[in-house]
Amino acid sequence: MSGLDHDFLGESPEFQAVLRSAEIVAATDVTVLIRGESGTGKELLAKALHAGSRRARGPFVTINCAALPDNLAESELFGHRKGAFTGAVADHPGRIRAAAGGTLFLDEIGELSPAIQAKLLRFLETGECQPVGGTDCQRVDVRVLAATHRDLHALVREGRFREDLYYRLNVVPLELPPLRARSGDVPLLIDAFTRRHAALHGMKPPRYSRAALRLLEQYPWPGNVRELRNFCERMVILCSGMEIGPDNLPAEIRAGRAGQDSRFELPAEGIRLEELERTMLRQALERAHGNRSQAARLLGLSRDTFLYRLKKYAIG
Amino acid sequence: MSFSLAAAFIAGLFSTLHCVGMCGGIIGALAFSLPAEVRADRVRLLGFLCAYSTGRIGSYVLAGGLIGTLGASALRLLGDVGHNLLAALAALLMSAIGLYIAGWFPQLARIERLGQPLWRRLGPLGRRLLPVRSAWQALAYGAVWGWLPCGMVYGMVLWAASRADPFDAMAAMGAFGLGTLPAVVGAGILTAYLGRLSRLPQVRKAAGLSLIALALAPLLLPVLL
Repeated sequence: MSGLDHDFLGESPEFQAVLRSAEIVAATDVTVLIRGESGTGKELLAKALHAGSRRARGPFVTINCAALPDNLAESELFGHRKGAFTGAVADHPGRIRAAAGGTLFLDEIGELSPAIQAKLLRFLETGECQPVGGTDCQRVDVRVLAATHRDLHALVREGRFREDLYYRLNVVPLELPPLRARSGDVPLLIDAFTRRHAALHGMKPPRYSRAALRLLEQYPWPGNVRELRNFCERMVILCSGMEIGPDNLPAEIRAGRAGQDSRFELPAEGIRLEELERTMLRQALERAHGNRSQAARLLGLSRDTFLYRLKKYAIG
Repeated sequence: MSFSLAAAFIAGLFSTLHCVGMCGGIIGALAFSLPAEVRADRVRLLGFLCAYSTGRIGSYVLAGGLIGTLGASALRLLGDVGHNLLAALAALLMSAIGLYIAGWFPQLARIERLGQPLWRRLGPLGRRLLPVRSAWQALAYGAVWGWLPCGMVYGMVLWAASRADPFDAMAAMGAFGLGTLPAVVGAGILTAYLGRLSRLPQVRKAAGLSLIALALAPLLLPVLL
């Protein structure tokens, strides 16, 4: 799958392991569930899986499940017959049939409504698709790839996602690591994106001072590669040909914290602060794979403060 | 079973806590891309999964033999001090693997880079064998899969070099491969469960610390007793 080498930048072992798995998975015809935070490149990976498969010459059809209105979802996915409902002035094949012979990519699968989950499950089990207002079932040969930034297993436990659909989709899981977990990839990506955007805009690329690069490496990049790419483009436009020092960086990067933190809004029904703190401590530990210094950085705390809070809540 | 073989087996067993996260996709893809009639027949499916693993473990054993020969040559060059030096090196490497599993030494994965030139040649060869239709193909694919760059496997290969005997190194790599079997053969059944287990830092730490204890025991026991 040559597309992977071209489309994906990164040399960290965590990232390379996913790419190697993806190369092998692409050559098969199995259903793949791509997991990863927003901005990690899930759709790009899905396209690369399609390009590296025997279906590469077939269509690649993307359905953004989050943008699928409930009342239109069934007709959008499975198609409809003329006259099936008001406004159905002609036959519509639907996205699934449009992907026949190729790959169907279900993006943000965790956002699918329960009613459509049931219909999608039926299609995945039988391979048959029935248009709205039609009586005939048609067999459709598609490979299904799905992606989500959510913890689908947690959604299953909460009863918001069908367990049978989860197991049907989670045949082969591929997990794209967040940028903060890709050791050494930030400088490499900054260099590549800076050169790419400078060429695109016909501008001289800026240079980053060591201190600025250190801050950029410490920043957790909550928006992942997408956020980094946009940042590089902004820097190319605003600081073309200049040396970028810490003072030229956005405030949240200088502070070493994600901008999202300051945008947190207290819900109307309030929160239980202690419970939230305990959850955040646990999540930081999990994300940092138990590395306490890294987990402390994720929360913007010193290691000592972090350890004190772990002790306070008896989290080991 | 000797102490070092037990350590290698346990390293294989615990490695799945790390590898399910990294290689879960490969295990699932190889199992679920088999023909439907094979997947429907549990005995045949198990046969194919064993063929994959036989090829994979065969490659580990071969790597152990090659690296063990190098280790033996190094021992001849080092003379009398060599044994103590290699024993210390073995303990150090196994401890590094323990730290890696526990999540305290992710840098070990950087040794994967050693295998990337070889994988660039072997990877396309392996992909030509997909989709697997026969047990022979599965065996051949498994043999290719055994050389996949993996910090855990490469760490074990380096550790096997410190055995300084080709047969000892082959046995150690074989024991390591056998340790990986439960998770790899149980793909599809165990993968999701192990995936969740591997996300629990306490479990990984306990596994890593047990391995470090096993690594240091041969050095410390004679001193303590």
